[in-house]
Amino acid sequence: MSATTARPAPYHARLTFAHIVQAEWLKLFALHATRWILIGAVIINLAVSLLVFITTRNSQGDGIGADIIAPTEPATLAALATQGCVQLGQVVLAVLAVLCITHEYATGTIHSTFVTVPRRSAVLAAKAIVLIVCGFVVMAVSEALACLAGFFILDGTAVSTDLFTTESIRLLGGGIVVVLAVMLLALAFGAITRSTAVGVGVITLITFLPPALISLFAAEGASAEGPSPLVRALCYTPGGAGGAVLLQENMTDVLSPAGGILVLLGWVVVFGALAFIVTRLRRL
Amino acid sequence: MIEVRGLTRKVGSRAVLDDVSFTAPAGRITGVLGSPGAGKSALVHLAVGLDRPDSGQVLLNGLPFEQHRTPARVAGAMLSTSTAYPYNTARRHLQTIATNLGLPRERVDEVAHDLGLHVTIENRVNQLSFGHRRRLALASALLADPDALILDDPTRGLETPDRLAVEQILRSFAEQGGSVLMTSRSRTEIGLADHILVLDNARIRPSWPSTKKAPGQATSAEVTADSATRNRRAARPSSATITSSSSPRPRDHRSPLPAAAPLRTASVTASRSPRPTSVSYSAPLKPAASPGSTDAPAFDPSPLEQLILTPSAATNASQHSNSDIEHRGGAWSRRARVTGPSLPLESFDNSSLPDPLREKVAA
Repeated sequence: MSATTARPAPYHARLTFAHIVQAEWLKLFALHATRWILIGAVIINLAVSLLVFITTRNSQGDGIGADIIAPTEPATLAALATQGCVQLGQVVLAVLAVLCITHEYATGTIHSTFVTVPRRSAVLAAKAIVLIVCGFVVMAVSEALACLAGFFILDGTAVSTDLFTTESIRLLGGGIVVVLAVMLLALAFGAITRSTAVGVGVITLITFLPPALISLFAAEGASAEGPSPLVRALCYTPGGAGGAVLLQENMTDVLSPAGGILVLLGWVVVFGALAFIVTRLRRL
Repeated sequence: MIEVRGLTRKVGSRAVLDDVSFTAPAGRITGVLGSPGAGKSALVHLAVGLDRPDSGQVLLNGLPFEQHRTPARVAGAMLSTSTAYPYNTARRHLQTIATNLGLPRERVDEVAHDLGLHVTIENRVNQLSFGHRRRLALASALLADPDALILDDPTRGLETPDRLAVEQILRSFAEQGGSVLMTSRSRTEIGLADHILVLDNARIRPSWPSTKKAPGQATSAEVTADSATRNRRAARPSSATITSSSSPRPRDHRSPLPAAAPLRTASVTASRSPRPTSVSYSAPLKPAASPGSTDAPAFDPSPLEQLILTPSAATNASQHSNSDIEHRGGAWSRRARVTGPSLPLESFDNSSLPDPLREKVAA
């Protein structure tokens, strides 16, 4: 220890929401996993997009596998890029969103956080803002790179590469909205459960599984009146609603893209409110 | 000032705290002594809003902690468990808290320097020694220069040098007018406090634990030692002047450490009701001579002075440097600022002291 001499007080501590957001940014990037997850998300999004582009090109041309891949309807570059960037990317980013809060409970730093900022709802809101910024940047970069690659790969096919149509912009924007909504939902589950394993498990289950189940049951239960009740119900899960936003087959029969976004936002509002209440009332 | 009013917290049907009331005044260290499970940590968690009471409240400067605009300025908290992300560096941990409070990087450096963390501040938290982790927790509490400190077992498990350092910081903080509420499970460690409350089975116990109470005789829950008495242990080794200070001084700077710790007289007072008994010792202390000084002042210590300051036998303090801390005969002594002959521990007759004080002195 060292001696200090008397001096006037030059510092004045002041708690503001902007400061809380800044601190949450620091905390998020103090996590080892954050950088890897963000970089990994871009790489995975790009890899899946490339796979989608190559498959599409082969199905429409005479490339390898063209004989075993059924020709699909002419798609747009925006639709393919969004599909490639959202499918796995949303799960990877959801893991980051869950970790963002559960690691604080796991390591005890939540005590330090809530002692410094007793307004717990402000902490949760700050975390949400930080995640939205990270998710937006990752998705924007992923979609930009995917579209760039798509120009070259899909050149000469029937796929429309015009990115400046209303439909293309809506699809690309919709993809980002879907991922951000899933991240916020993951944050809410993390805050409610306080467990990384449970949070990641639940968010994977409700985003990844429904589209697969819808594809599985759509053909079996379809009737003249439309999709079966099970498929209809699955379309109202986050995964199903996200699929509707991205114009995936079977899901648009139940929900319009706008309806899909509303359903997703409904999930976010309900579980976000629950997370706020639980976090505020929780005794540590 | 920290006011605890009728605080009750139950877990299921078991009361963790049961109608606990007391006040931790400014300028003093209030200690809450209790065995594990007595409710000490619950008290701290309730005080800083981490938990909600079933009834009662804890007021800090007249308001509950969470209702202050910037609560960290009102009270800094040090919990018994680690609250730092283990893979963060100490600097980054402090910087995160400072960012929350809008404090600049310089404040982090300043507090780290004051608490002796500047050498290890770039190390990861999981690479720090236990003592430095506790210092880091204390640094977090002090960052916003709060009016009060609420500390859960701040010296538990610390090596003696670290413990002395933490005690010194707390003493200095109180001397600058800050209010300190600390808990401990150890009588030795709680000895730092000016005012000791015993928490037992969720309630403030009506007597010092080992006091043998005569049938029908009520005893006070408090053991009070004049804060000046403790200064000798808490004072900075480098200080050359010891002045009297029994009342809180206005805090005049942002450092947790003062330039010099004051003390001119020392006294220990214990009281027991309904028949108050008071024992008081005073010892005039004179400035210590710097090493090599030819006009070393004479010192005529009282028996209590000798006991507290130089418990080891056959030591001529005037021959040692001001910053010496040594371990002899099973006890630590800081030979700082006080010069003159010392007496062996055995020579001190404490039979005239009341039970609570005797135990405290023995500890």
